[in-house]
Order: sequence, then structure tokens, then C-alpha cells
Amino acid sequence: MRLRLRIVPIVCLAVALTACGQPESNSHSSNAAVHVSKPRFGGEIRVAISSDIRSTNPGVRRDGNTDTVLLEIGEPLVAYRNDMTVGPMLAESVKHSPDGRVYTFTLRRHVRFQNGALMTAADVKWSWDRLLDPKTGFRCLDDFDGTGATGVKIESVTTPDKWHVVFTLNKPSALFLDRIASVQCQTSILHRSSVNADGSWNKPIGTGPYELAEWRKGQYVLLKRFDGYVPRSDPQDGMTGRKIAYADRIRFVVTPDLLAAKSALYAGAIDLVFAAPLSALNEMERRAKDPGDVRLYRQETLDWTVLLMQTDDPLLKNVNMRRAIAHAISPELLTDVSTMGVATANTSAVNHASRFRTPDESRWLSYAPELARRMAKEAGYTGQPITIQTNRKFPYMFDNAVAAQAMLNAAGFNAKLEVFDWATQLSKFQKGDFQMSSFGYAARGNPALLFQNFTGSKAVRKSYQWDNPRAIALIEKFDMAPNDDVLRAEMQKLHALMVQDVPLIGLYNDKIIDLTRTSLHGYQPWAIGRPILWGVWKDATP
Amino acid sequence: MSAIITRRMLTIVVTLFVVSIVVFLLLRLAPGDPATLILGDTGNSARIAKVRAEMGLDQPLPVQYFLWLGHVIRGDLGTSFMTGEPVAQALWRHFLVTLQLITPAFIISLLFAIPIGILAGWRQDTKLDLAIVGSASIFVSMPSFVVALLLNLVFGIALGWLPTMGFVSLGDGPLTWLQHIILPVTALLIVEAGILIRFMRTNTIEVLNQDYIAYARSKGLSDWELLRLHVFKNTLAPTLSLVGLMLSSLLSGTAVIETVYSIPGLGRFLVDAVYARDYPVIQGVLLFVVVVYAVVNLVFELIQPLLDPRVRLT
Repeated sequence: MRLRLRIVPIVCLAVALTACGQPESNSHSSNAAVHVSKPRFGGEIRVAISSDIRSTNPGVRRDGNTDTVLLEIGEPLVAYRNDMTVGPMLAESVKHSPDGRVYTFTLRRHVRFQNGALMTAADVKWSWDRLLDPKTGFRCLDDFDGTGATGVKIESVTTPDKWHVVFTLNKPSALFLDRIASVQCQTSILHRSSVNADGSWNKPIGTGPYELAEWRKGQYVLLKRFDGYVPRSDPQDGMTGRKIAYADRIRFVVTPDLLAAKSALYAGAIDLVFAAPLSALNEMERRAKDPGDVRLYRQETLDWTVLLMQTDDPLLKNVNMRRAIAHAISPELLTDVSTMGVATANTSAVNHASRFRTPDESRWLSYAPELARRMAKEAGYTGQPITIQTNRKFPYMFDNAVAAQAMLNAAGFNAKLEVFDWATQLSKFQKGDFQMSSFGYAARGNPALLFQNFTGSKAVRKSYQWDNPRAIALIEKFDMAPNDDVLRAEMQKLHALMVQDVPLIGLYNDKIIDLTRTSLHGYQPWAIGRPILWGVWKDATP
Repeated sequence: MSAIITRRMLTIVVTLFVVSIVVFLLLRLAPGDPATLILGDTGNSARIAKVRAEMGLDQPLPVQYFLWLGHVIRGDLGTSFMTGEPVAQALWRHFLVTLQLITPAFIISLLFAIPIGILAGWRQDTKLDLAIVGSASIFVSMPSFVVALLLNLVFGIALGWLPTMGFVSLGDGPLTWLQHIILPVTALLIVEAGILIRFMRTNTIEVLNQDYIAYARSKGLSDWELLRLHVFKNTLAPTLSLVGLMLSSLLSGTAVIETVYSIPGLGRFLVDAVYARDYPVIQGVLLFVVVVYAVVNLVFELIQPLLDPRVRLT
């Protein structure tokens, strides 16, 4: 489906900009009195999820909602903290050899699986042997079996004793722990009774604070508190630290229409809608004030929205043309308009809150439409159409594309939109079949993993967006970095190179609105964008 | 009669075969790849190729089709790409949900719309007729999702009488089931009843203008006898074909209502599968819907001569 949209003059963007609010802090609630209630055990927390889970098999048959549910059940050796550093979870501590090839995990003692069995090194080895077996279908296998872009391979997993597990890699990998901690990969340690005798999947027997009670397909997934859970002693911090399961049950209710989910929350049938529809923001804010029975949380996530430019395209392979386009688009203006002022522009793969962020990451090509017009002319542009692919499934991608089209046309370009369904756009992205594409990269805890996801040779993978030998050389150094300072310096160089090369235009990290009933307490959204439900309690029903 | 049924059944088989080819080809020709959807922005070429091979999508199209057809003939509709669940099993589960939704909607529509439609025709050009036709026109012209959202706002949020979403099976609690289906069934039947009322009214007016009605009146038949013996019977026969179509369209057309009310029925199952390019599910559901559609219409076709001797089966 092809649509020509020329209805958003740049003047409207400017007018809208004046109406936008100021950027807000990374995460806060609309209501100051958030944690006044005394924690209580009991009750059921009902959370809306936009689609049913694909399976109960973590990291295998998965998507975002599947991850959301299963991270309450299983736990990995290490996990992300709120500041996106990696901390121990089932491990008590982690050491690596000076050459960065051998990682030794000392396990916590007294951790029990949801079937009552004690977790030991043998269970860790069994879990990882299973994940590394190609028959399992682990979606992140190529991050660990040497077939991925970095070539990192786990050569062996050994258990010198009951409480130690040793991972030996084929080459140093500074990002190994980040890969284990990845929310998408879900490298949970499971009990072997999670699979049947014939090796087929049964159900997850993890070590998390909640266990699977019932999956009514298409309707809900019910978790119940695991009473034998042994929490860590350190404070709750992201996916690690002390996890206290206050609710007796968590019910993830499948609610495909998020507006319907919001209505159900108003009616009291749902307690939490995460990533609530931004189109209803004003209405939700009014409701938070009067009658004041709901609460809004705003959170900048690590999902990075971008405008991709195909560097193989006859028109856009000219770097001056790409730079001209970058001068025609104001990420700040676009961000304000597309997100109704809730997000802050970010042109770098390194997000604002990252420990790797430096002032250098804020540098980008200035917004200068006249300069853009002149540069495009000098680059030989004579009004050829420039198409921006987008979709209606993700409203922010569509809004970004419309705003970008308006800015480009205002600067003298002939920009058009191509609106597809998501499956088609994603397929075209994978094949590199586009000129420009309004896109979003899913959250990665470490920006290095994000850089690695879009940088590489198009001969190897068409969806690599940035095929620049210098950038690829810098990427390859990531896994060799001995510490964060070196990694930070590599990222600075990469961003500086990206400003010159403009393979894409970074726009902003998506900011989501989580909506809860005021009867829900202790809830804290975090940058990965998935709700964390331990440490959350609910008022007793009157 | 048996020859007619056999002939119709053969027609259904041929229709199914044609539909299976068309659906199969359309899906494969449509852009979008289930493997890329599963892998998202992380998939590299090797990983995508591996997942495609797991799904059997690396085979030539005729091989894929005949493999699938062979399984279908043996009663195996395949396995969902997204969930790994057998399609037949998932389809049956979703169908039972939809059945619990459309059966009351269908029955209530008939019970209300047929007498009201006849009444409007009987009282043609009166205030009552005007009110009925006006209401029916409003019902027909309102999209079902608008009706659903309005019902939600009033009865779910403002009054708090009924749940705004979710589904409980009849077997899990009749009362809770009833509470959960009142709003979606109302949203469904309002549109369907609107269509049926208008249709019944037109048929009634047509029947009332026939000579035999004038003759019956002249014989001194009371209004009630006239309606019962002549009008009802003669308006019902042509309505049957519409009712058959209505039942079939309810089966496949509930996706919007099921989405708004978060009901895991067949329509939502199909829509989700289309977005996910879950080929086995789409093919299985469409075949199933065609079978139901054909069988329902065959049944109504066979009933029609019993009510109207003028109709002859050929």
C-alpha cells in the first residue's frame, strides 16, 4: 500500500512544538504519594498484555510478551541492574581470567527450584547444555556458538564442584555477561524436569519468585507466588537484588486492544497497563487528577527509534546526500511532535542514562533546511522521489515518518511515504529493500550490543545498516575492551564516525507510559520497558 | 434427495480444493516472512534461513502445497509457526469460544428481529413502523466496534454493571459466562438484528400485497390468523437464505468484537495469524470457515423447500 501524505506542513510542527511540555526526568509518577501504603501480602495483580505468550519455553519460542511473563519465573546467573550494569543473580560472584576467556561463577547456596529441588552447578550445566544444543532452538544461540558476528563461542561449561561453574570461551569477550543478562535471550537456569523424558518441553521449573499456575490460551497466564523462594540479601535493583513476591497471584490478561485495556483498568478489571496508548495521554492525565483512581508512570526506555537510510541506494549511497537529509530533519522538533513532548531527542545509540554516555554523543548535524537544500543540489539531487517506509502497527514509527516527510518536503525534497503492515516492513528491512525506513531497535542493556546489531557488512547480512570498514573495525574491538573506559572511548569514536557517515538518523529513546490503579503500590518502571512485579503490592479489596 | 446432497458435497470438495490453492498462493505471494517476524531485528541471514527451513518454507511451492494438502486429507492441519501448537487443536478451542458468542447472538437476533420486522411491515407507514425502521437503520449504520465501545463506556465503566473484557467458558460457570457475554453479544446482535428487521419488513410488505392475502381477508380471517397462517410462513422462506448467510458471517466476522472484548475466538485467532504470517493457522481457519459456510448454507437450502413448496431443489 502506498500513500502520499503531504498534509503536515512544517508550520504545524512549529506550532505543536510551542505547545509541548518540557522534558521530564527519566522515570516518575504523576502522583507524588506513590509509596505511602504499607506493604502487604496477598491478592491478585492483573496485568494487561497485548498478545498471548508464544510458549512457556524461555528464550526459545518467544516474543516481548513471552519474555515479560517468563522473567517472573526464571532467573539467569547474572542480570541487569537499574543502571544497566550487570550484577549477580543466581551467582554469588563472577570472576574472569586475565585473558577474558574464562568466566567462573560461584553460585548462591540454598536457592531452590519451584519443585523444591536445590539448585547446584549441575543444574546450571544442564540448562546451558540444553540452550547450546541446536535442537533446542535457542534464539540467541549464535551469540554463544561462534556463528554470530562476533564469533564468540562457549567451548565448554564445566562444574569443578557443586557450587562453581566455569565457562570457557574461544576468545575474549567483554560483553559475555551482557549477553547472558539479555532480557530477550532469557538464559534462565531451569530444573531438568522442565522437559519431558523424550526431550520435549513440559513447563518452566525455575527459581524465580513466581511459578506458573495456569495458561489458559488466548485468555490469561496465571502465576502464583513461589513460597520456597529464597531472595537475595542486596536491595532490589532492576532484574536482580532482593525480590519479594507480595501478591499471591499475578494474572497476565490477554488484551489485544490497549484502549480496551485502559477502559478495563478504569473499570477496575485490570491493575496495570504497561506501554499504555500515548494517544490517550491527556485523558489518562485527567483521570489521574479526577477521580484520581489511576496513576501514570513515565519511563524512557532503551528502545531506540531511528530513520534508516539505505547506503546501497543509488541516490543515498552519496554521503553528501545523506548529510543533506540529516540537515533537513530536526530530531528535537520531530521528537516533540511525535511523542507529544514526553520524550527527549537522542541521536546516539548510547542512551542518555547510560554510563557510557559522554557529551560527545549529543553532537549531531545541525537542523538547517536551507543548507540541506543547497547540499542536496550540489550532490546532484534533482527532485527524485525519496520513499520512507513505515507501518501502522507501531504508531510512533508512523508519526516519525509523517513528521520526517514534512520536514524533508519543507527543505525541497520529494519525500513520500510507503505504509505497509509490520510483517512486510520487517521483511523489507531484513532484505535491505528500502530507501528510508522509520524503524525502532529493541532495547539492549549495553549500547555496544546495539551498535553490533546495526553495524556490519551487508554482504553478510542485508539488514546491517552501517557497512563501513572503519566502523566494523571499531565494533570488533568491543569484545576485547578490558574495561568500561576503553569501551566508552570506542563508542565515542563510533558516534563521531556516524555523524560523518550518517547511515541512519537517531531520533529518540521511546518513552512509555505505564498506567496503574492507585491501589497498586511499589511499582517502578525501568528502562528495559518490561514490568517488574516483585516488590509490588495491592491494597486489600474493600 | 441423496443424489442432491451428494452433488452438493462434491461441489463443496471442489470449492475447498480451489480455496486451498488460492489461499496458499496468496499467502506465499504476499510480502512478509514469518521467520523475520519471529526473529525481529536480530535475525541474520543464516538464522532466518534456519528458521525458514524449520518451517518448511525452504521447499519449492508445489512441494509445500502438496505436503500440506496430504496432511490435511489425513486430518492434520499442521502446526502453528508461532506457538508450535497443532492447528486443529487451537482452531477447535477458538471455535468453541466463538460458538458460545454467536449462538446467543444469532438466536436472540432471530427472536427479536423476525417479529419486529413483521410488525413493522404489518403497520407500514405508521409511527411504529417509522420508529422501528429508524432504529434498524441506526443499528445497521453503526460499526460494531463503535457499539462495543459505547456499551463498554456506559455499562462497564460508568455504571460498573458488567465486565468490559475477558471471557469465561460456559462450562466454567454459567453465571460468569453470562456476565461476560452480555456486552459482546449485544454489540453483535444489534447490527445483525438491524439487517434482519429491514429484510423481514420488506418481505412482509411484499407478501401483504399479494392477491391471496386480499382473498384471505375477504374470507374474514382475523389479523392474528392472517399473520400466523400466511404472512409469517411466506416471509420466513426467503429469509432463510439471509439467515444462513448471517450465521456464516457471524462466524468469520466477530474479529472486531473479540478484539475489543479480549475474547479468544476464531476471528481474533485468524487476525492474529494474518499479522504474524502464521500460514498453517490462516490456511486451517479459512478452510474450516469455508466448510462451515458451505454446510450451513446446504442445510438451509435443504430446509427451504419444506417451508416453501415453490422452491425446488435441482
